[in-house]
Amino acid sequence: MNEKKQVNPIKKILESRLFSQIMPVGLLLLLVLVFGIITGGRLVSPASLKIIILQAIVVATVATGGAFIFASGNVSLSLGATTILTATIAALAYNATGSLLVMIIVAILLGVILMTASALLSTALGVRVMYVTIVMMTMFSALQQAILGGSTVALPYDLVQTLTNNGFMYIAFGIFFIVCVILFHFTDIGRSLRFIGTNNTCAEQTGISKAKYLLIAFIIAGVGCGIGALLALVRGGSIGTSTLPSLNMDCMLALVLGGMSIFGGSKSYVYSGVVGAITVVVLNQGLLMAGVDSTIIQAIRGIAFLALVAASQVRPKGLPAPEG
Amino acid sequence: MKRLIALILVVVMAMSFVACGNADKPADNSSNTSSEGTVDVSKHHKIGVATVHSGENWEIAKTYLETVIAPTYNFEFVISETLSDANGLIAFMEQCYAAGCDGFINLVTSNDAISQGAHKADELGMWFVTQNSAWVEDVAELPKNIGHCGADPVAVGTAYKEAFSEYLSDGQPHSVILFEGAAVGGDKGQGAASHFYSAVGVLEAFQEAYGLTYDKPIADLVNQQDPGEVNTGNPDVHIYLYPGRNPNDAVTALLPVLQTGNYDIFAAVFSFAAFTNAISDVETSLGKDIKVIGTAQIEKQTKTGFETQDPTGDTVLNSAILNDLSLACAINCIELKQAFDGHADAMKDNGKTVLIGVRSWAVNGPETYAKMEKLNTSPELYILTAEDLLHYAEAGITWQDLDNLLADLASVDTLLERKGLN
Repeated sequence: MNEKKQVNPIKKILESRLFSQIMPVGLLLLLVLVFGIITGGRLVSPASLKIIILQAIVVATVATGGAFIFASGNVSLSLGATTILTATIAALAYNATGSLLVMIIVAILLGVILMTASALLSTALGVRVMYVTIVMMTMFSALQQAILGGSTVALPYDLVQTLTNNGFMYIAFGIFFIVCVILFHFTDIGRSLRFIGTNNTCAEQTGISKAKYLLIAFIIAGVGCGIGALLALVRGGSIGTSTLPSLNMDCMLALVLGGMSIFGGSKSYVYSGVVGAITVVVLNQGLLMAGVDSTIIQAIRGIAFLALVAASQVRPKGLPAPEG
Repeated sequence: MKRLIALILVVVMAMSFVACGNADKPADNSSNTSSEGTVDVSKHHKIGVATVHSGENWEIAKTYLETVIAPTYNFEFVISETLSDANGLIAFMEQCYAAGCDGFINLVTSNDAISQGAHKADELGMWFVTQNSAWVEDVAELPKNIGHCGADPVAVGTAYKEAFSEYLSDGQPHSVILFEGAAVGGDKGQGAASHFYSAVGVLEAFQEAYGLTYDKPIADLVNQQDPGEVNTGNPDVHIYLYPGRNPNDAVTALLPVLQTGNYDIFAAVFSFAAFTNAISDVETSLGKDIKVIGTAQIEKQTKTGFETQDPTGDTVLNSAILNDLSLACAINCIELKQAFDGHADAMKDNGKTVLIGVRSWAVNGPETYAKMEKLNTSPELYILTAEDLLHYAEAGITWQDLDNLLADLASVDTLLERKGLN
């Protein structure tokens, strides 16, 4: 009667926390290695690596902030629209004042305000975050359309060039990422959000206020959107209604590829967005440098992402199914 | 375990795709020379192409790039997915640079994208040409920015004016709904210049035919953000302008306007086919023919439009303003080849880039279109053949020569004659 249940060792490894932490990074290193060999080392040249990081930086920033929301088991669909609207208004603020400081303050404040509005609406109305953010996404896009019409707003190239050459992007992202790592992995904020994501009911019964921590998650995500908006402006030099059209999906994809569980909870890592964003860029750039046709690149990317998501996203047994 | 197998299979599949991608090694074209034997094509060049296009017309242009231009000039093309903005363009340019490209063709047409792209090309040391319809002044003197080539916006407007003048010359009052696409701001580098001038051409044709007195200058009317009826000063002549980039939204919005029965001409500066079903429904319900005029390309959709009958027995498409991507691609590549060979200055006017305009062709009726559609169907039926490409890559050729060439090709009859299709 007391026979021990046989446990498949491979299954045990696959479901272990260590594997879920190492797998995305290992996959990224494998991609770098494979494409490094195929391209005769060109992919891993300093210039190429710099390009890879610059291409991933906007998605990585917004996704890092978004990780706080995803860790709580919620999905935000308005990260992209918030970032683009913020970038639009921040660029207009710069063009009106000529002050870089004003642009930075406007971007971060506005990102926080817009994301806070989503959180407050969700908690006040008792509507799931995903539904509220769908509405907010549509509203923000419409607002940007109303502000810009068919035009775009651009920053002076000299400013863009100066900020690029002075390492503004690396510094802004680096500070934000370090703060996020501390908040997520070394404070009550991260622990509580992961607990809420693991089991919402248990978390509330132990005195963790879901509304409070959700608000904090959205505020941090808002800062991410604000910094992401600044980085998008510096990267592209301009913002229009067609700018970064798939930013939200790119962030979600980066988080999932980076090892974040789509159910949130204990297997959530704040670096997922960074690892995932770089993985996407390496895959794209590696295939392009290997001479693969763009249409085939799209097909490979789609299949690879599907397989990776299927391989990494299994809800641990014993956890209640998420509501809604 | 299944997940591991899935991962391994994906890696294997990706590797096999990569192997396929590497199969096409650049050809040794060192023996390619022009009739005068002055064009050296021994050096291989890799060219990035950032496109906003997709669909049949773009596939035709891609085939032309890869099967005619690439072997002729010893070029290799790295073509993007469909891009839409400056961010996508910059990212793709960086990828191309890392992949070894030394030249770049940009088809992302907003002014800010062109400006940022030209600066990025200068920074990376890649020759840069843009396929668009507007000259961008702030980057005109950048050393690596060679120039622009695209549909000549004024010529598109003229083609529209001519097409409409033919319909309006019967002495009857006519009214039009115009889907003017990205016309708003097209004269200021914010929308599409060709859409702007198309709308201007239509309004001018009506003004001249009926002596209309608009309540605003024509440019102001075209630049209005909101859709609505233009005050024509003539109760029998109605003009409804609909600016917008989404044809599906336009169909929904314009259907009730068509149903008023006030309009007997519909014009679309792009995506005319999106409207044909709705127009047929209205023709059936009103028992009235509505003429359709649209900007189109030489492709199956246009052929279908000219060969299909609407409910009144007329053709679905009555007139087409035709553009050809392949010709613009050829000019872009000639500009790049000249730059690679040390003649970038010849492609510029006193050190500044120029806009070389591809003239549109107004095609009225299926008979002419049946001849035009034979273009681009075989190497000798591309408007510029390998021999032409070599000729225009010779030293001594200037941007004026290219502009003169396109001016010569402006007439449908001349073009068909040149290709032996008349």
